[in-house]
Amino acid sequence: MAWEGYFKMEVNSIEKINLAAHQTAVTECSTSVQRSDEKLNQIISAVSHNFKTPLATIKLSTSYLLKYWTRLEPAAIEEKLATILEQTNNLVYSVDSIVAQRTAAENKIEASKKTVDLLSFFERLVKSLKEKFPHHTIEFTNKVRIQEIEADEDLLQNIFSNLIGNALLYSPHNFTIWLNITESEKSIIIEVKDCGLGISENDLPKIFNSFYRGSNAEGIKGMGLGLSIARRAAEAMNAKIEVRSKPGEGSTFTITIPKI
Amino acid sequence: MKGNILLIDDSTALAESLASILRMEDYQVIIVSNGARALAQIEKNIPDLVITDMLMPEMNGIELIKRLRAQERFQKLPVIALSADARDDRSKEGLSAGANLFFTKPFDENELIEAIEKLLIQ
Repeated sequence: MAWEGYFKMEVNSIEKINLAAHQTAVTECSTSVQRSDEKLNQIISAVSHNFKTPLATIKLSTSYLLKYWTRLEPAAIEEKLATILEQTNNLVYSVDSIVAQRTAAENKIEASKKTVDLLSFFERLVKSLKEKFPHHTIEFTNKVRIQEIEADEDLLQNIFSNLIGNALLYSPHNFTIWLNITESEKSIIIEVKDCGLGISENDLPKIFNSFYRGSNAEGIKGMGLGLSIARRAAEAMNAKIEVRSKPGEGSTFTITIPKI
Repeated sequence: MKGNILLIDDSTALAESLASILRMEDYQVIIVSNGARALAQIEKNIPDLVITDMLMPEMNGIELIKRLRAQERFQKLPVIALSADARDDRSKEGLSAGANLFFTKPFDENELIEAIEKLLIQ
């Protein structure tokens, strides 16, 4: 009888341990499903906004041309055709971003380093961004002695058009964005600073996740892919991106690129 | 002229494309880019009908509709909500805030024109 009782107790405690393990596994699984659901919702929302608005614009412009063609002046026709082309380009850009995110997520980004003239690279980039965001000011200071680094220019373009583009998007009109280049013995250090909306403490650890959009990003266009791709692009060049931010005070992204 | 429409959307391209059609259909259209600007515009000149996007910076469509419906004089102002977000909860949110109708982008412009005509007759 004593042995029987002992075995019963042993079996009961083994069952309890198994049950507890199962419960933990079920809870973990359920949390993971919830996270996947949240992620899926973020993706659906981002894709919906970035695809459906240009699609709606193309549809409306095309219908307008078809329906009222005979009543339109050549200038009005040309304007709508230009809108269709611009919105088609926006869609192509969105598709390219998703493909780039997949490539980045699979660590397929490869840096093809060549000599890059930093000054002319940033001057070109700043000029094109100023054309896109005419209501902002971009202040560019360059304090490095060497003007050339070994880097992948396409990846640099990706990183800085995303970082400076975000700084512009998340800052009100007439605000200034600072782009400062300095150097240490082994690295080039580039700061992109804004005084815009800033990032909350809760959002900060997640901003490099793909399709993640900050809690204060409502109404601001984007799919939440830029920073995730930029970080992978930086990693491919052995560079790193760090961020400091306070809500309401703005953000500073620091990119450290090895000189060699 | 069939009526004054206030069109609120932060996508200038979409707003201009829709406004072009509405103008051809003999409506007068004013475009603004967010809810806050819409409220200021409505204070200056009350439109016959409002078409508003949902997701916009500064003040979104839901907030705009709630603020309009909170005022006695705007309770019967026809409001059509537009959104690129096709999820059901987004349309329910728009309708429960007080929108008369909800359209998901991309929408059929003929259905929208028909809806505008019906709302203006009411």
